[in-house]
Amino acid sequence: MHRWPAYPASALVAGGTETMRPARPPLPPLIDAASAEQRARRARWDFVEGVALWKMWSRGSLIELRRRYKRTVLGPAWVTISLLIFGGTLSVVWAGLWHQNVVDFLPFLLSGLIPWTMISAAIGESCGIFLGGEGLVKNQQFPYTIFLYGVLTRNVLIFGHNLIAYLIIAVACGVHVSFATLLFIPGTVLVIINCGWICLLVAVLCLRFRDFQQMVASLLQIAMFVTPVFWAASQLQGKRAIIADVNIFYHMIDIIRQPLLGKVPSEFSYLFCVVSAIVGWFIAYRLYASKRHRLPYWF
Amino acid sequence: MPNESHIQLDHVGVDFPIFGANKNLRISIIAGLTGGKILPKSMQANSIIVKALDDINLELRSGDRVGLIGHNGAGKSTLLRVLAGVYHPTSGQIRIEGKLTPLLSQTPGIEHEDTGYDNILTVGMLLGMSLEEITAKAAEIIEFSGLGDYIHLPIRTYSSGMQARLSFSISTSVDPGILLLDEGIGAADAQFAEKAAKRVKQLIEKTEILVLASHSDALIGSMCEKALLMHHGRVLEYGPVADVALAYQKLFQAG
Repeated sequence: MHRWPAYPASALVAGGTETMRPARPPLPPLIDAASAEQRARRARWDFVEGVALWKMWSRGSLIELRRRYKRTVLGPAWVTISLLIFGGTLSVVWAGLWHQNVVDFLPFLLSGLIPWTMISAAIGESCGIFLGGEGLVKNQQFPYTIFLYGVLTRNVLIFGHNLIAYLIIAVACGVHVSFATLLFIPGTVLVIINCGWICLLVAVLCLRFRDFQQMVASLLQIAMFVTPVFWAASQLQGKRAIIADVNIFYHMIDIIRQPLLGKVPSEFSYLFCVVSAIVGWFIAYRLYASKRHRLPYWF
Repeated sequence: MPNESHIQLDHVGVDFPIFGANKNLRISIIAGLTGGKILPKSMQANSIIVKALDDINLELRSGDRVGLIGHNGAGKSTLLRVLAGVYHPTSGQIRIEGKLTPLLSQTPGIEHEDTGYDNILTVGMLLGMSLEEITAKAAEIIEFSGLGDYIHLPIRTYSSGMQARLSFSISTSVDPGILLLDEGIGAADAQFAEKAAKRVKQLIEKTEILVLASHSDALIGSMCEKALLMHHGRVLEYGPVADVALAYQKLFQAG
């Protein structure tokens, strides 16, 4: 008789056990239809309380990953394998087209494809995070941000996973490693922060206007070809350079890609990402705070 | 319980915009660009609004057990969702003190691909328990559901009776505070029914405030002392169950 594995709770959740619940700002007991101040306070509560519920969404992300690859032999390794197959095949063809070395082209391609996969999957999935949570949203009050944190965590986990595959390829292809390589850490953090506001904006808009789901899907598809993922921004000649310069995805990818290739990203890319994080979060948060109380009405 | 549970509603109203009938992005953009002038009245933004609740005043204190009676669409479920903090009222004020346990959808957050055990943890956490609390209660829940080794199988492999038993066992394991129920807690299983009835009784005894929406006078009569008759989003009658049930019957006969 096959023995079913028992899942001890501690195996599903990173970190130790905790007996005391952390002190959290309480939700005001009064809901006043006319009070804008209360709405703002509830939006703040969502973000803070959402973090405090990290055990719930981190566990949710892990289970979701496991669920997706249920009954497959290789499990989540499929994400990495399909990426390697895709990258490998493409490198052989494109390196030939552009008269480049596969050994040079493969790390270049993967170092862009891996962050792009994280960004586009997070944005694409955030279209459905509120819609998928309908049963829960209509049952009780809770910080809706746990959906956002969940989608980000899941894709960061996959990113980390893919990074390991990249390291193996990079070593095999003899990519130059230097101190600049460590810059991929602040780069990744900055990219996640930017993904956060984009996903929040997309999630709210997709719930309210269902047309946005189609729009986001088609925009992401276009963005993949317009953004220098498969090719270098330096290949854009003359005025066309602006295609990369004003493209937030290019800068997000580049502050991860350059360090992975052992180079220092441009200051302009950092500046672009910092400014868009500040402006983007300002807009996304304002929208969320003003519309949060309406979300359950939009299903 | 540190504080007494308390619910107070003052002039609460809920208006529902109905999307999909005509309001969408295209119309919003056209309406925004033209000031809505070129669209016929029926297609203008926000034109379809349903008044789901209208001027509801209600005060409930610890020990109150209230049944909501009314036709389909009278506003029972909407009122429960307002109490649960899901719908913020579009007018008026609502104050709720105490721990809320809404069980409005059958089981919030249940995932068919996950094992029974994983679902116990997920649902328990969504019902407001910490991972440690629900892990400690898991053994008792598994025992009561009578699922045995099946608990480590995905629940899509369960029969509907087994699923209902699991949902029931999780839902009734909470320490409810203010308990909000839509059509009671189902456990459609003859063998299980007797055991289940006892467990529901225990749960209700632990509950500080119970609000139960149902079409069944009998269910409300067995669980509640007071009833509230709703009609077209308004409160028609509030008082002892027998009186309100009579008013409901009159309303029924009147059509």
